[in-house]
Amino acid sequence: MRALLAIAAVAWILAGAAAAQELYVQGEAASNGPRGVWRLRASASFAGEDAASSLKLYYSATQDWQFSFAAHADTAGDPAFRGGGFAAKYRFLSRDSHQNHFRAAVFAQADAATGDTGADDFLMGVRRGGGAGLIGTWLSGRTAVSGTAGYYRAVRRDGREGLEGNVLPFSVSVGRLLLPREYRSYDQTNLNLYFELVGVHADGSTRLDLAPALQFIVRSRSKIDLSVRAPLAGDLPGGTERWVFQVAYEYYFF
Amino acid sequence: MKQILILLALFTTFGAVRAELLSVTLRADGLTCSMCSLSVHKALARLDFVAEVQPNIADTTFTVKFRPGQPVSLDRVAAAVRDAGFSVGQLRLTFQFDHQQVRDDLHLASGGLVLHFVSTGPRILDGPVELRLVDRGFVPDAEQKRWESAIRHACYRSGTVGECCPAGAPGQRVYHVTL
Repeated sequence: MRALLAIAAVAWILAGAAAAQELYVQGEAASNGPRGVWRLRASASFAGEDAASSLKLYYSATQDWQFSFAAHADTAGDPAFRGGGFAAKYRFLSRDSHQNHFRAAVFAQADAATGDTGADDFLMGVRRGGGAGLIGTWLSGRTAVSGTAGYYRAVRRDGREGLEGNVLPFSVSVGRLLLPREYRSYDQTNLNLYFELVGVHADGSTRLDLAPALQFIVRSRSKIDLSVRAPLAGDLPGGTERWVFQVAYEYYFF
Repeated sequence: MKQILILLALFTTFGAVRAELLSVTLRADGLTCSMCSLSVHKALARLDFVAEVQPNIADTTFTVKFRPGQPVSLDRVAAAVRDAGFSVGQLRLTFQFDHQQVRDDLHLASGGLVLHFVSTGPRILDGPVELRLVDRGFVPDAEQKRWESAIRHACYRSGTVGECCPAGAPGQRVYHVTL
């Protein structure tokens, strides 16, 4: 099954290189939102008997600067706050042409967590420490490809399980606009398909997940994401082989 | 007396203007999806001198009509597109002409805009005619470099009326257009 998923991912990435969308579910594109516009994203994740929720607020202060704030909670039983974070992203390169662009951005983030911060938690965004990284995103017509590489200094809480020290998170994302075939109005529902490889390298080992997703864009103002994240490889602390199912809703306050 | 002198000066510098700005059609570059188009649309519609925005989402083009009597700033139009996260790949101005003579290097003032015709042979324009803006920020970078080497006037680089311009007040914004 894993081999099939990996082959599908590679095939998709190769197809994408020949072929729009960069509103990624797991990764973050180099582009920012419109200046002065807030975005709110609420997501719920399920893995076995565990359940977690996240709220993320984005604000683009300028065309180049975007800030985001995140809060995470465990929702398997009574909701329990698990942590939060702050990130800033600066788009330093933008090459636009008709229905094409290449953009690059740098980002920095700082996070706090109340409990475990293992590999599963890290990939969910529940982290303790800080880091920075680089994003490159290429849009061509109906397809967008993006890559992210970063460095994170993870700090484990005493008595808790978690990643510690030098951590290298990365992702490769490909998205394609499937519908509508032809745009006529802002009210047409868009359907995007994504394949993302998200991973983290630490202590000489690499955890790698494949995350396909379907995304519905409703009235050009909100997104509904349905995704699954399937572990392909890796044996980092706090990492399991469980599939994580996620549903998310995001609204743009134009 | 002063007003008469100003009027006289305008007529001697720009000639009798027979043109009225009807609309602007721009192509936003760097986007495909309708959510991105809506961002551009909202940013354009927020400009105080804009009356109406008509989108063509498939082509990422927007036709903008203006409020009567309000001065139009094409720089603010381009800035609105940039604020939405994208850039202007092409901008065409549609003017209603009434037997207007044009030629290379003609300076024309209409609707608060000073236009400098480039790469334009002698012609008489009548009815609605599209002019294409060729200044930095309104064409792709590669095309802009070609225009920069073709137009030797300093006003193309500065974007403002300079010593090379036969008309207009020094420092006034000047837009370079062609047919």
